[in-house]
Amino acid sequence: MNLVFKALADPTRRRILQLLRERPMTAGELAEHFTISKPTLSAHFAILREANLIEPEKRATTITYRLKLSVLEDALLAFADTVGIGLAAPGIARAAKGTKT
Amino acid sequence: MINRTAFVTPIVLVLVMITATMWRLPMLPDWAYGPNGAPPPIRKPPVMFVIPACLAFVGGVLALMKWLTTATADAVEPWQRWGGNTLMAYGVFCTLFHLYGVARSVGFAGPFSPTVVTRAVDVLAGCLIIGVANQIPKLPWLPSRFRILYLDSVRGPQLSRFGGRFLVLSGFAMVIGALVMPLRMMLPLALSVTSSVALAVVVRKAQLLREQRHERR
Repeated sequence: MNLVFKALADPTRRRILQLLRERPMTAGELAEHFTISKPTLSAHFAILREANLIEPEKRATTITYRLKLSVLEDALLAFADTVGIGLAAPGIARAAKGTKT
Repeated sequence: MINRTAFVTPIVLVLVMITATMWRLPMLPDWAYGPNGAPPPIRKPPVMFVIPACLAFVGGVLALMKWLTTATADAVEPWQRWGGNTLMAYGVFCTLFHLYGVARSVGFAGPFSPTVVTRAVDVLAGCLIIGVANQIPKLPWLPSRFRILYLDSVRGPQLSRFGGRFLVLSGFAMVIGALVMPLRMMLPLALSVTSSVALAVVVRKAQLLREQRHERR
């Protein structure tokens, strides 16, 4: 559960989850929505994977990510978004501003 | 959608329940009431077969689900784990509740009043629904054997999330109902909640199927 809280505490990771809510996406498609570097984005994917919130599916050279949120994790995501958890921290706020929403 | 162990356990539990019922039925004219004079939990013999029948039905549905999909063994594996856990939890819950009913009907009463036990059982049923439904959106969407019912990998998970949310809400409704509502209202509540979830899922699926067909044209 700690891993889930950690994963949902970051606005960039929450944005990734919201994008995946629409449909499964490749790492490249997700990267188009952010201005942050690919290694940073990969680190975010790793944290989400570790928390079991997304599932990668490898096809040839592309990795497609699919959402893997339980109902309560989904509610937690909505709550974290409403309250704006993680936005107060200066470093994270900069990262969130960097997203091309 | 269940493995062999998960398939055999409910069969054993159903047999245990039916044996207990068959043992109890010849004594039916001598209904023993609880020490507080509460009415017997089971009034008519056929009712004593309802709980084993429910468990057998759920087990049958979960076993059939594997036949309904054309997915690979790897994709089915999370469903098997979920189905197995669901069936085990539901089986143990049903058996304990059934054995309590049989035990009470022959005069064994625990330290708690039947009202408290019934409320606790309803709360537990609600928690079971929440626990089981909470995991549904986490499971991979499986292709259906019947093309007419098939939702693609975008809309399928949407339906899972929709159904999961509704079921979790119905679980919460059960828990709250068991805590604050009169006990006689629990059966109508459970039936209305279950039928509204089923109706909502069917309507949503029809919407998604129509959307999908329009998109393909």
